[in-house]
Amino acid sequence: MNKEDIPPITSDIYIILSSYNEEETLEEVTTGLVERGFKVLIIDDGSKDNTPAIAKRLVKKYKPMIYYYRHTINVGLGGAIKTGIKAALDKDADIMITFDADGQHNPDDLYNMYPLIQDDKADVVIAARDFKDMPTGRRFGNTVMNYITYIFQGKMVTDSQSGLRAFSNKAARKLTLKSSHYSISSEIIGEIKRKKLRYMEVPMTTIYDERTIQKGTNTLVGIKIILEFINETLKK
Amino acid sequence: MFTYQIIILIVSLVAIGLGIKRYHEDNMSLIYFVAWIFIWILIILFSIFPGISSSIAAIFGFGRGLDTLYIFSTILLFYIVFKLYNKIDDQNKRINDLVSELAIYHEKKEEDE
Repeated sequence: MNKEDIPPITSDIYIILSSYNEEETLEEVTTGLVERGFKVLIIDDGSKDNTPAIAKRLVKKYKPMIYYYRHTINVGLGGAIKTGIKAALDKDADIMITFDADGQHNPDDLYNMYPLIQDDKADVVIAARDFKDMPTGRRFGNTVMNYITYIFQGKMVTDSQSGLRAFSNKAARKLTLKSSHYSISSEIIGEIKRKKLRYMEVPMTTIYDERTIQKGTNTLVGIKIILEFINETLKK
Repeated sequence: MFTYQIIILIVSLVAIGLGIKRYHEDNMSLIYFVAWIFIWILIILFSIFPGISSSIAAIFGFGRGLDTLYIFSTILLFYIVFKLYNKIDDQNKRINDLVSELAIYHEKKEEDE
């Protein structure tokens, strides 16, 4: 994208970077975000590798653009996102965007997201992957997850498992999230419906390599998400 | 006395002993302790006087005394597993909330320093 085409950042935007054992990609991803003018909240979900040392170095180097939060034990993706949202609200963020630290997301995609909230056109913006770009197994799994999200949460979206989501401060305050694991993605979709938030979708560039394929939602995770939903439904 | 009765008696006494020990160490609430002792005393009674289970079976209309025991133990076990599951789930959520709060607290503290 040309520099002059970049939409100006007129609000306080924080990126919630959930990371678990991301020593290989953390620095590159964080630097990419800071250089584009975003503040970054690194949420380290109990990493056992070199993530803490790298994160602390980055905090020093880019002060006051980066903040580091460490879970003393591994909680799960949902837990990391919840901590991130709390931390961003604590810093009075106008907009907060969840982002994966594994290098799967392209920071340029953020340029399609925050202007919609800045211009008050939406409360929540989710960047949807093009399923055609995915390996067959992934495409099937994500399609199934869309339907499962629809059944349990009552809203059909293009990409229910997308990790790239932007929330306005107002929307983030309204969210009631219970899940500590992967089912947080579907829960967020449900909350958009329940809290009647204005929702918009934008396209996302999908970057798939061996590493990100290994880390994302696989069949086992899919089954776990379904079990979590059943459990939550029974408890209601 | 049959061998199985002796084995059940020993196992039950050990279980009661463990219950008392855990209760004394403050690892068990009073209600669980009482329930634990009550269940094991019932098991001892059923094993020493098998006739009791037949009488209960007759009251509930089950075929054999042993069936009554199986059915009630299965229901009880399911209930305990369900309770335990919910408890663990609740504890998990509380631990997660604590971990999250700690992360935010430490970041603030470091920023202040």
